[in-house]
Amino acid sequence: MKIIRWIKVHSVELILATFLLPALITLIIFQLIPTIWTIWFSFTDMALIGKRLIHPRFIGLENYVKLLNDPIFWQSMKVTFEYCLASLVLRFVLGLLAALYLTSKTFKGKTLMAAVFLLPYIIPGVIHPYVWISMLDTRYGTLNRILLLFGLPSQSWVYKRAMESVIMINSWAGYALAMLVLASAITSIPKEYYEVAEIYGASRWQRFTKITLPLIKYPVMLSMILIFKEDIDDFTYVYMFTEGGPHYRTELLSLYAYHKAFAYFELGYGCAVGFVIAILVFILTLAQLKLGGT
Amino acid sequence: MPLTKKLVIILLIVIVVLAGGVYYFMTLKPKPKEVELTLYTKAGLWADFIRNSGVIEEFEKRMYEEKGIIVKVKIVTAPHKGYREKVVTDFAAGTAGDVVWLGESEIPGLVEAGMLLDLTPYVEKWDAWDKFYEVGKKLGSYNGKVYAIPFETAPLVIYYRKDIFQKAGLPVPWQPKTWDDVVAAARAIKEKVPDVVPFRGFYDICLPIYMAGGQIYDPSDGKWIVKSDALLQAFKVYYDVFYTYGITPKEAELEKWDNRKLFQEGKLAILIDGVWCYIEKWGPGMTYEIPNREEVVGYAYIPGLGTPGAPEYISVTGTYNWVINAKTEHPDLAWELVKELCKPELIAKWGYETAHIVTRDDAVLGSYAEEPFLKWATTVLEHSIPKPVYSGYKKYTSTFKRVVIDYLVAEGKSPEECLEIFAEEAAKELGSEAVKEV
Repeated sequence: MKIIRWIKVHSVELILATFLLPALITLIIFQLIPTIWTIWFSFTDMALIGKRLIHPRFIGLENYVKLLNDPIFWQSMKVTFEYCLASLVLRFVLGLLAALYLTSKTFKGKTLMAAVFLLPYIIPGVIHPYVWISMLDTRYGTLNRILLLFGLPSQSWVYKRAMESVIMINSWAGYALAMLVLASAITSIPKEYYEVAEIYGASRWQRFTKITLPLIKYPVMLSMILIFKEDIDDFTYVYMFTEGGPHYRTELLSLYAYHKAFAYFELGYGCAVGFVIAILVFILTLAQLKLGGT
Repeated sequence: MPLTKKLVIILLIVIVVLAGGVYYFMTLKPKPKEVELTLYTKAGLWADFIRNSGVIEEFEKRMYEEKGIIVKVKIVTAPHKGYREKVVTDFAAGTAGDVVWLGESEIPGLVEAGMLLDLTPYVEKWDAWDKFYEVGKKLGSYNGKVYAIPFETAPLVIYYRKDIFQKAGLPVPWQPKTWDDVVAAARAIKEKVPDVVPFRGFYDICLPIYMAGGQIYDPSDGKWIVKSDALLQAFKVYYDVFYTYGITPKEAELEKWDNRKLFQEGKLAILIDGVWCYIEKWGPGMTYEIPNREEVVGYAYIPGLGTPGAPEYISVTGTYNWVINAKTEHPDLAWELVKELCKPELIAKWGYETAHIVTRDDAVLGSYAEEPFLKWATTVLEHSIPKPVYSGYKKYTSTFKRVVIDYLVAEGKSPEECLEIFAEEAAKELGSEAVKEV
């Protein structure tokens, strides 16, 4: 009787919970269970081929100890943060400029431009490197031809400037995320604020720094965290474009995990690297949730 | 109608129906067994070749006629890029097909994991096995047992542009006797035709080690050789190419210039590359078609270094093979499919269409046998050594490549310094107990 009464009292919550069930089950099957497996594998010496595939040993923290003493892992960590920070600045600045353009009253053709701005974000990531390979070729590439037109020396984009190249591709492909978040935030600012500022003779710059920026402070932080989170496990561009070279200068953490797990078939060690990435993403997610709560 | 008459008629009808039924079931043939086999291969050129060759239909027909089994072969594909990783992951996940297209380098690891079916009992009863070239047989075997049936092999050769050679006053046809002859020709080209890249090599990063007569693995003790005179000579070859004689610009290596395109455009004089380039890259209708290919493209054997212990000519070759998944439910049918796929006519057709060398001597037939380049390229196998089929090969070659590119080419470190770096890094990658100096 108590149970029936409890069901009656909580009937609304139960119905709502039922709606959540499909998503919850999907998350458990495709996110939680693989994550638990990954963590478990990271404590073993499992390999994708050889005897260690059928008879993996539990080795405790050995993979993590090895990781801490692995210079390539630290190099990988360093280049990942360089990549994330540089991408963050570029993606954010470009996104903000695009958002300001789309929300301004001065410019025309914004609908068309919005579609143009969104295009790189919509095109699948695996296609981007193919487009850029032809752009960045040292001898025939469009970019070097433009540099030569201005009397500037051509650049070795795929070797000496490999990291700059992948940051450039990533920023071009991903600035629309900040644009979307910031444009919607700017649109939600009441127009009256700007009208009053105009009456008091505020310049365009003053209106931006005194009204726009303070009012979109949280979306700005949110978009930055989202960008960082998106970039920290980036894989496609370096895999397709540089394969981590030259000399591990573009070996991002995710690519390092991939190389260890699938090129050298050291699944246990690759999972340990993967788990480190998961921890980093987890910390960023906590920051994002905290910010959302604020 | 009286009741008795009615009953008699009904009884007659029942008897006729029953008799008919009994006759039908007595004469009914048993329904043939239906089996599905999965063929796992590369997408694009590879899968299309199988689909268009009619081999699957022939196999299905033969199985029905010979064994009374309806076999349906389902083709599953994975992309060319990353195929190696994909196929190994599918094996580990238990989702690889019954019959799988596999490169030789994955055989040891998959055998050790118990993923490949031992084909020794099958080949022992198969007359055609004697027709296969030894080099392919070696690549498909591990610990004395056969695990793979080679379908194609692809040794490396020297290509040269006859038109550039003539401009430089060099003889055509050309067959260098030693590595010094190659360097001399490249230097002459550098001097007399300065707007072209004289030389690009070596496709297989370890080729100069073999040119010096060296080995990278010692099967007697199962150790990788990370320091040897041959390794030092190999680093010297690279140093000469990029620094001493400068016959290859550093940028060509560091920026991954497209050698095949440069060769097509007549901007590269000498290139070491796989035999498949002749048709698959420069052939009619291909990506870098050279319309007057026969007139301008020459080919030659790769010579040894000319030092004591070095071979006269050398090439290194790998194979792509058909293997059978150890977990297949139908090993005998899968073997029948492999036999069908490895028929000489089919191997010859693939060889002709893609300029891969046939793996059995009775497959030198039809258009393949009439193509002068392929006829010549088949003789390269006499000088070819198989790639070492041992676990750790990928780590060894990746480390060697990294030292050559990042230290020697990019930083200009001396061969002696590179040898030390390589010995240290290879020991880290492979484990100090798995390496040795000779």
